[in-house]
Amino acid sequence: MIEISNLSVSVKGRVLLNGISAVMEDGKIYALLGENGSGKSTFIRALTSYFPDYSGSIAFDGRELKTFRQKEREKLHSLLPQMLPHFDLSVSSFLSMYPDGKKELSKLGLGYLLEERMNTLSGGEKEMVFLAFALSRSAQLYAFDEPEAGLDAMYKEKTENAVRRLAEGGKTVLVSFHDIGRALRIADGFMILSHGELVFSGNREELLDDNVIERIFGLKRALFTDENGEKHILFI
Amino acid sequence: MNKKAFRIAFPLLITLTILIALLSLLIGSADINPVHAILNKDSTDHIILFSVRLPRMLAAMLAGLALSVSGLLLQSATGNDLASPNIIGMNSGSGFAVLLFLSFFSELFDVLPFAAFIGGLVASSLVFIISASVSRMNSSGSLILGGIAVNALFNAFISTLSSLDPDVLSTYSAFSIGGFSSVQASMLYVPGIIIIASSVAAFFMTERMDVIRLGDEIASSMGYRPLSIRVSLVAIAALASSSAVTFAGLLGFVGLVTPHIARFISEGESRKTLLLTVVIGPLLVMLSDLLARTVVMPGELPAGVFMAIIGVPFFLFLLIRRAR
Repeated sequence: MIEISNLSVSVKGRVLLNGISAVMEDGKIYALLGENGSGKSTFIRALTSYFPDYSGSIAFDGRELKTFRQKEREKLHSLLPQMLPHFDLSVSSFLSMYPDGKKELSKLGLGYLLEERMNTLSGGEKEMVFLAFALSRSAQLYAFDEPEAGLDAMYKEKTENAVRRLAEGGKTVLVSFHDIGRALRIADGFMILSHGELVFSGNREELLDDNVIERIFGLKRALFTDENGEKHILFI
Repeated sequence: MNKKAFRIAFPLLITLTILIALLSLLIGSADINPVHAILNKDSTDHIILFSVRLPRMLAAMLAGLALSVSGLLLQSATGNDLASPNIIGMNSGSGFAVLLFLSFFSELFDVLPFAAFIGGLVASSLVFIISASVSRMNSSGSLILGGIAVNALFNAFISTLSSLDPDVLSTYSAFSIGGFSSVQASMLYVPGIIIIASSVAAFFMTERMDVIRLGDEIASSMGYRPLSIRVSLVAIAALASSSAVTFAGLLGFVGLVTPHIARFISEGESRKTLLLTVVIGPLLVMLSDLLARTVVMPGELPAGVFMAIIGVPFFLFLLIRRAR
């Protein structure tokens, strides 16, 4: 379980995250939503040790992130960042530096990319290689920053399956989305950021009942309940 | 493909390096009989072999090692293929410090590498500061522009110093292009130890070099501190290259071209790239020096001249190949 309380992050005097409190349980998928510049990437970075300094608390199973030694953090969190690095290496040499890297790419059904070079991959292929890399690491929290941005349907499905697989294995998964529809399809819990503050945190039911989506995203919604009593939502 | 290329190239390059090292000892403006030279301790041949050619060969080897390893570490630290000790101002900063030190404390020879180290660090820090303040992202353009500015400044200082105090630098052109004509064994002890130690240290950094290539976000998430990795890489690079400057002058091109050749063969893995760099650097500089002192025998040219003649076409070939 990851407990975040009153987390604030400032960089060069600018407050990027302000007083965030949330709890993330094992085996659950959490969607992080919010407009551009709302602090989604900063939040993900804060949880994956990017900032040496933050105020408030981030506790992994009750132990404060700051108190982990550098080497111990490897087992805490695995990250798929939004901006992927550029370098010239074969996919196979890159992934073989990490024990299960190649296996994870094959599990995604993309073993044929191994012979390619990193800097000749398409955007989507590269995203998949870094997804495989992130999956190959054994951690408690998997944080994926807009993994689906710019992906076609096939790659989106592979990402979705990988996220579900992690949650089924008892991992905590945090995924930021641009597309609320995709978030609603995949996630169990939802967090919405606006101007560095957490304006909503709750489950699917609460998200659909609350008018937060309309407030934040300006989307009008239509709710309907099907014959099984399950709630659906349409954004207009 | 990748593994095969390395397995063939690596032993081949080692053989070639040994061969060039032997040739460097045997060939020169004086004809010597190697057996005679080794057996007869009082002979002129002995003196030529052990007091002239051996130190010179070792100097070329050490300089090649130092500058190439330094180039590789800097390219890794900055994430920029164009970084090398001469481009980011490290060499000219060290060179200026060496000359300044020689003008005031010419008798304190063993302290020279440390003065060079400080000069190199000051100059390269200046480049990093300029680069960081010009653009927030550490883009390749700003790093190179900062390097050009700082290089121009320190080269101007070097010229000024050598004009004011011509005794310090009787062979200014040889110093600025880099060469080994005035090398003596005594100049090599301290820098040699530093160069070998920093090359060994580089081998302990290869895993971290692979990690920072993944960017600061991923590196942090893997439990590393990217900034402290970068600082260590630059410090090791400065130790190596500044030590080389104390006896080889501003030998430039090798630090840029060697990592590129190495990466071309290794296809990017840091450990293999470093192994190749450690062999190719000394090979290139020994070869340049061998050519420099044999082609126009009995006269000689600075080794830096041949470094450029061999290096530039090869470098262009790699650039064009990569662009395709």
